[in-house]
Amino acid sequence: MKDGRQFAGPDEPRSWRELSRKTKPRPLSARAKRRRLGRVLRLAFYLGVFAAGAFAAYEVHSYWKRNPNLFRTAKEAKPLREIELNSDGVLDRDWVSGRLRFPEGIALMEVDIDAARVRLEEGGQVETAVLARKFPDVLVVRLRERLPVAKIKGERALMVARDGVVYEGHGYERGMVDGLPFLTGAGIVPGDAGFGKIEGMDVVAELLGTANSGADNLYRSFREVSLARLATDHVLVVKMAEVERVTFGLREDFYRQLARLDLILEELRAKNPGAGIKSVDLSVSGSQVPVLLDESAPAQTDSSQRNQPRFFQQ
Amino acid sequence: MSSNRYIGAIEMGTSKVNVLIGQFELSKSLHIVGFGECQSHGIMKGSVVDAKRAGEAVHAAIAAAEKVAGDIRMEAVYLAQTGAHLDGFYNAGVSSISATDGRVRSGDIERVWALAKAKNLPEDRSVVHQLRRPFRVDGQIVRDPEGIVGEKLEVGCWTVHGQTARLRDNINIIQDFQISVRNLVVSSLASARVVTSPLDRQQGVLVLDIGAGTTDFVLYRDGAVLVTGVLPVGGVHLTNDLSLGLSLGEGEAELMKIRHGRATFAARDRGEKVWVDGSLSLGDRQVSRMAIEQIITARVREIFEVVLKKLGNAFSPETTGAGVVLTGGTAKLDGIADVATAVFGVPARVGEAPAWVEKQELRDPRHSTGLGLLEYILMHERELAGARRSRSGLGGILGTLFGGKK
Repeated sequence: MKDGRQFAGPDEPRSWRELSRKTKPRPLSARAKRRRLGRVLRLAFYLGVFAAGAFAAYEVHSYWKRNPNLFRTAKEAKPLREIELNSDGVLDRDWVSGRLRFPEGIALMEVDIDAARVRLEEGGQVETAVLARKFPDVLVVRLRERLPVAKIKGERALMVARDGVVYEGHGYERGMVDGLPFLTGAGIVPGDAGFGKIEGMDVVAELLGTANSGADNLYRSFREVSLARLATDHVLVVKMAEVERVTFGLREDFYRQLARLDLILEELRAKNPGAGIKSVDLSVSGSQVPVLLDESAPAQTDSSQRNQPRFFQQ
Repeated sequence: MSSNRYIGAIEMGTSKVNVLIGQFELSKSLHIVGFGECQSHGIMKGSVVDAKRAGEAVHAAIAAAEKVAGDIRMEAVYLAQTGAHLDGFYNAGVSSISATDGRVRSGDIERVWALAKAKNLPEDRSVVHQLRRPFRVDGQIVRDPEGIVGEKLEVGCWTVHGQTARLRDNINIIQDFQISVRNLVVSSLASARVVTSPLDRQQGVLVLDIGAGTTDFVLYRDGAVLVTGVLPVGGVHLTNDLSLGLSLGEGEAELMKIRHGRATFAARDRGEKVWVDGSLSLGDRQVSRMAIEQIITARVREIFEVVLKKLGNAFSPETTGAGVVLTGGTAKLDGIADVATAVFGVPARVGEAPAWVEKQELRDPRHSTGLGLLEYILMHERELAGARRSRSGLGGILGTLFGGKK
């Protein structure tokens, strides 16, 4: 209980707090008039902002009523008429349509862009897919595809890309696929979303790419590339048409190694025509390259020199 | 709501309008951030006689204070009230203790307090304060009667009331400036808060705030207000007396009072004279210093004697252990405390501003009402903040839902 601040109860005398303000005009000081004017102007401003907001909302609503197309919902959109494809690889529109499997008559707005993108990318051949709606009825699909650098033996041909992704290739020319070397020595691990990535493919791709561009004659005779000794010995072993085993080291530039291989093969052909070559080891450092000839090949040389490694001086 | 709020303390006096602005921080502390003072117009003895002129003066003082405070706008004000229209009466509430074990319950306290407050006023008057005196259980004063065993519980209420029209005029002047009036506080109560201590009030003290137009007084006993009152006499009347008695103009009389005024005789030489203007200009003349002192002494003594008469049996030297404290602009007169001592028969002193008032200008006794209002603001806003916190808690919400008072 405190002194004199509470309002008067029903049995208590009237308190000053119950005094009502007189409503008839009173003489105000100039300052009071200015302050009151300021308050009125502030109130008018807030009311004006509120009125403007209400008017804007009314106008938007009216415009929408007159132009319902502006905010058309998905249900009212036109059905998908065409898929416009833009790809840097070999996949075509039929492949895309077959992959997406849209129901007949689906509206453009009903297409789930994210789900469609995932379906296109999950095979592995498509590295990235970008989809966009082009109103009123066209779906634009842009694809960036992976390029195969090798293939894997199996019931069906599996391509291996530079980043190690394994996938079933579609649309590739037979000649191109036939020209790819097989990849051996790599563990292919099937997973829920396809095959697991193969480690070390970037090195293989570099060797094959260098050979393809700089030593096409050699590249065309590449039959297999083995990753079996990559992790342990840091070498790639290539089986060629005329050489059973060519060992490339990782310490030296592939181009130099290919150049030496080319020279060695040329010399051997000149000195030992028809001789089979068992192995050429380019990974040995130094200027000498060990070469082992095939003992079963017709001898053109002295028998004492059969199965003896030869060293080619660079 | 911001944690920092600006609340004003306004005193609309006969000679000056004082505005103090306090910055109330986090419902805990108050800092004086603005001060405005303006010559008063249209206000006589605490009552508005010319609303327009009074408004101009008050609004100018408010604007000046707000500018000093950094162009802020006050949230609300506490307004000091004075004037002969203010009056007071005592009413007691007595009730037997209802509980069978004889213990006082909160219901007994509320009932007896309601009885003490329940006395109607004439139609044209409104309550300004209802000041509770200490509770008594079976005649013994108790600080908090709840839980105490007894048969009879009583409490007294000193109601301060004023003319509704005059109160409304004062409130309207503030509200015209788009500021709300949060509380009305009688000037004497405000002044007493700064010039007396809780110990003084417990021992019993009489505070006189002698302003320009009025003399406000409050008598404390046992820590509570016993009596309040207002005399429509103040420093202006001393000036008028000098003006009439010495045939001086109002300005000259005011100068005489300020320069040579004393409430007791000090002039040894009856023939001692002083210059009215003191600038040695043509037309300047001399008046007797003794005459000045005689006139002022008589009026001051009369003021004190009237106050003593108004207090009646309520005042006794035995129950006023802390004596008499004088404040207000007129309290600066030399020797005024001696006159008070002689009239009231208890030691008297001129009150000092509390230590927390650092600005020298504000330590002048004429600002004690404004400073007292600031103390009132701090006390009441803290209580309001505490009440708000308890209302917002679960207990408060449940209390409100099931019939608790707000």
